[in-house]
Amino acid sequence: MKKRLLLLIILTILAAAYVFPVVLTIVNSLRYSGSAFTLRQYGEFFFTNHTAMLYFWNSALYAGAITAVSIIVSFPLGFLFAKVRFRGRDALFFVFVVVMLLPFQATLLPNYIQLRDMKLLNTPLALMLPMMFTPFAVFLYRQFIAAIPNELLEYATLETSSVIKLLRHVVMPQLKAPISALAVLIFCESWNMVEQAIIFASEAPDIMPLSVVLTRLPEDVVFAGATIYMYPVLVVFLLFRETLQKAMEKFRW
Amino acid sequence: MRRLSYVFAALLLLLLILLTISGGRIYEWITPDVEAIRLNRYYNKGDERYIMIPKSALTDDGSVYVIASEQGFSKQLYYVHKKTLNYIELPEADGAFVYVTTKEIASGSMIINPVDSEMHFEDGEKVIIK
Amino acid sequence: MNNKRFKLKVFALCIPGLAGFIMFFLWPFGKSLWYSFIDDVFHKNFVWFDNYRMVLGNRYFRLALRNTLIFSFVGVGLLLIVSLALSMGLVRLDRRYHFMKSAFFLPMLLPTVSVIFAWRLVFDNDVYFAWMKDGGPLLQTLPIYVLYIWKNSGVNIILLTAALSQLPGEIIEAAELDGVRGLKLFRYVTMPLITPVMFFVGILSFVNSLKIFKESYLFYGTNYPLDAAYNIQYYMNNHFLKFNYHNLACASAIAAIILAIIISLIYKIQNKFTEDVSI
Repeated sequence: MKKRLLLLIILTILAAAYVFPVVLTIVNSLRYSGSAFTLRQYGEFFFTNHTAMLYFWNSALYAGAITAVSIIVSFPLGFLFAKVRFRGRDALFFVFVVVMLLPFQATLLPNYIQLRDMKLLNTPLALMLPMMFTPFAVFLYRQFIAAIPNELLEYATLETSSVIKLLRHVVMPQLKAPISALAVLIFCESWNMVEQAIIFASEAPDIMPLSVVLTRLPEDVVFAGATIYMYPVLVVFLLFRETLQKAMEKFRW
Repeated sequence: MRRLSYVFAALLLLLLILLTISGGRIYEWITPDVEAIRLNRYYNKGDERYIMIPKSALTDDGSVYVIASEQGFSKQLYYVHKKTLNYIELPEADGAFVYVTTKEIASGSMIINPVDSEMHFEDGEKVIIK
Repeated sequence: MNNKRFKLKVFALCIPGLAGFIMFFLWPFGKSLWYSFIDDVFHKNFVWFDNYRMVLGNRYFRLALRNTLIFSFVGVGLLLIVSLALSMGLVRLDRRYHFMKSAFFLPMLLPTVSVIFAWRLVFDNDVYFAWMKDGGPLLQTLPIYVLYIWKNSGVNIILLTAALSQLPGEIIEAAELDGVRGLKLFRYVTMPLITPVMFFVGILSFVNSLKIFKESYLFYGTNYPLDAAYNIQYYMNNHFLKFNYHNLACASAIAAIILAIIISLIYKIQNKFTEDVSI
């Protein structure tokens, strides 16, 4: 019994250590030049630096649009790779996987060239389009759809020949949890966008997401800004914690 | 519990929207307005150049509030800074001004003109210039 | 189901996604590859591998590549050890404490920018400054290792705890009855059973080790950090900023090739291992 207790204590301490940076940020957002508990920093952030919040909504737009579009657009592709047989399917999927695993800097130049040729640089679309077609969503969809038993789909095709009906009424209900998990992951990833903004919108500071602007705020409001920026992620985390965990546990590669 | 969390999150979001819309206006509401004058007038006496400060701009204990400006993140910010002066009164001039050397205060500085504003500010407090 | 009409209909639905992928990833990647083989946008002379030779000979590129590989291997090793240790501990806990897994998973979702200030505070002390001055490259880049492990333990822990809790209990009990305990139990019974998961976690951790650039960039706040922290992404970023597109294209190609090699190696080794382990 005692061993269990010791284990619990150690793990609790470690868990607290992992959460510590969040706590530190929030605590520091409530201090202002010495005094321990004051909302002054938030006052400075919202009132004196009131244009900062505009960038927050930039981030919200990007994250929302990217999440919505990628979830919708990658769904049929995931189904295609999971259940539809055609020549070269596995090779093409391998390409998707390799591109997904590449760090951003490897696709940086290709994306930049493409956006420049399409004359989309320094527009909001430049920050949204590449991430909307991320192969990561296709990959996750495919893994989860592959787990759906084929008999179910065969039976459904006896009832209807419409692909859309099949996807909507048979496949999608099976994917409720994975779709939520995917949405959370893509949302958090696009909320975290930094390098893309610096490079694709280098000459249009007005459309920057708050993540880039945060480091340029005056030093005394930085922690309040960081907390505000963290808040949507924390909310999403608290609401979707179990869904996310369950979906990941069921994940098969 | 879950319903409550959604409501709470939505309320916070609404708060952020409101603050975004009204943030600038609230700043103007909470920051005192002052009138400022530039110290452009000077008087040369011999080798020394004296800046002329209207007597009405002095506080009870003989100091002025200098306004320093700085480019903030969203707008131009103005800070007040109380400065005690060593001033002299020149007999040959009329009694409306006091005179300080340029060592004390630079030519062209802005100070608060207390014509209709009150003169009780803390050091470093922000103001808006009318 | 797999008749031609059905397939075509599905394919039709996939057009937006495929078009986007090709437009923003495949086609430009090909174009960037082409860039790596020519000398100048204006002259478009095919110079074969001259650019590659120049890049590979560049001192900074070699430094960046070396740093990246060192960080990946050391980092992944440390991360796997930490994740495994935490997972094994978490699995032995009572069921009602399992919510603690979420604490380890939270850092993965947090925006880097928000937490970087707190982390800078943590490392803003004399002990670390002393290390930074005379410590070796590992101590100098310690914050990056810490940030990497902190951020990526979560997903590993979730995967590993799921695998560990699904281990067939009878085998472990049988082994314990035979007198196999502790470290031996771990080495000869547990480890082989979770090998597939470990490989997947390994690949995942490796891929994430390349994404640490964001944390590193925001932590050091500059395009030219300490020598020991100069990553291949810094190299690429700097060349991009200096409009050296050709070097960047070469570096991208080299990075992609190395990545593909490493991943297929790990995949091959994994297949070999899982063949031997059958219950």
